[in-house]
Amino acid sequence: MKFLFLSLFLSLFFLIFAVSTIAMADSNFNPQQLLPPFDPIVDPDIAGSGEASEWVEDDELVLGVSIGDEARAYPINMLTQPTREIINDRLGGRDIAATW
Amino acid sequence: MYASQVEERKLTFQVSGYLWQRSLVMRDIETETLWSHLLGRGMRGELEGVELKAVPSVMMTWGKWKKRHPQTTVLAMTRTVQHYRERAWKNPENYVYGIPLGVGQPAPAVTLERLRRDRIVSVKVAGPDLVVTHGEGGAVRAFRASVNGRELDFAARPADRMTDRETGTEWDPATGEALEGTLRGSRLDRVSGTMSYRAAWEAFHPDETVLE
Repeated sequence: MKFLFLSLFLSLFFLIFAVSTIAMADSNFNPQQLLPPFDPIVDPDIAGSGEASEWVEDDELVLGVSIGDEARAYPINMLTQPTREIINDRLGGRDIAATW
Repeated sequence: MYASQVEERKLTFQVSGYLWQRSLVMRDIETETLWSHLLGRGMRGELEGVELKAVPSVMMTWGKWKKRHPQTTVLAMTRTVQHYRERAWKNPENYVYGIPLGVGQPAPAVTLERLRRDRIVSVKVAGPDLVVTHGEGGAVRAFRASVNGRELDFAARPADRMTDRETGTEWDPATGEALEGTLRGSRLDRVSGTMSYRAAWEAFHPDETVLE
């Protein structure tokens, strides 16, 4: 019984802590360095739609962007890793940073 | 998704290794400025206070994207994970589509649950009226709900269409194009927004409206 109360108390404590962390977030810029900076990704490899359809499946989520006559899809499961979150790219004559 | 061009200068962005409010902080190689990804703003360094120009993008399934853009090209890198497929959104109440309208401007958001239910959601907060649309492949997009200064109020129609109450014109909710009716040929201005976890969005925008 004692342990039950203790664990209830602890979970309540962590819940309040988590909620207050979110609530206190404001525009004071105080970032935490958690990892070293990663080399930028520039000029990534690009494939055509037909070729890509052999290894990207229809139900996979992509970030799609179209500029002028050009369109490009960034499969989200290629971007989900700290090293991959920014792709410096060029599309439709414009320099873009595809970000996740 | 941002334009890399800032004040005549092309910037190259890297992952800084910093996190702020649990969200990505970018760094540019040229000026070493730190940028908040979610705010799109220089936070520390030479370009502090400068805003990046957002490029509208849409999150949707590959199958529907390539149907809409047959000429599309694709990033060709190895996958880092296997998930992020259509079923990833099984708890739509936990996601919002947020629309940051700029510094000093409102940043309204709509839950994915509401978007799935209503398909067409009008957003009327301080600032310009907006319409947010939910279409095939899970695609969510936002547009200004006006043409030539005339405000329009949209409602969902069958077959992936929407109409405005003022003129009855039929519109494509994916492109913002007027297809049939008196405003045919007009096009709504696209506004950039982002799909994110509701908790993360609310941490950045604690006082903003979230339509449920």
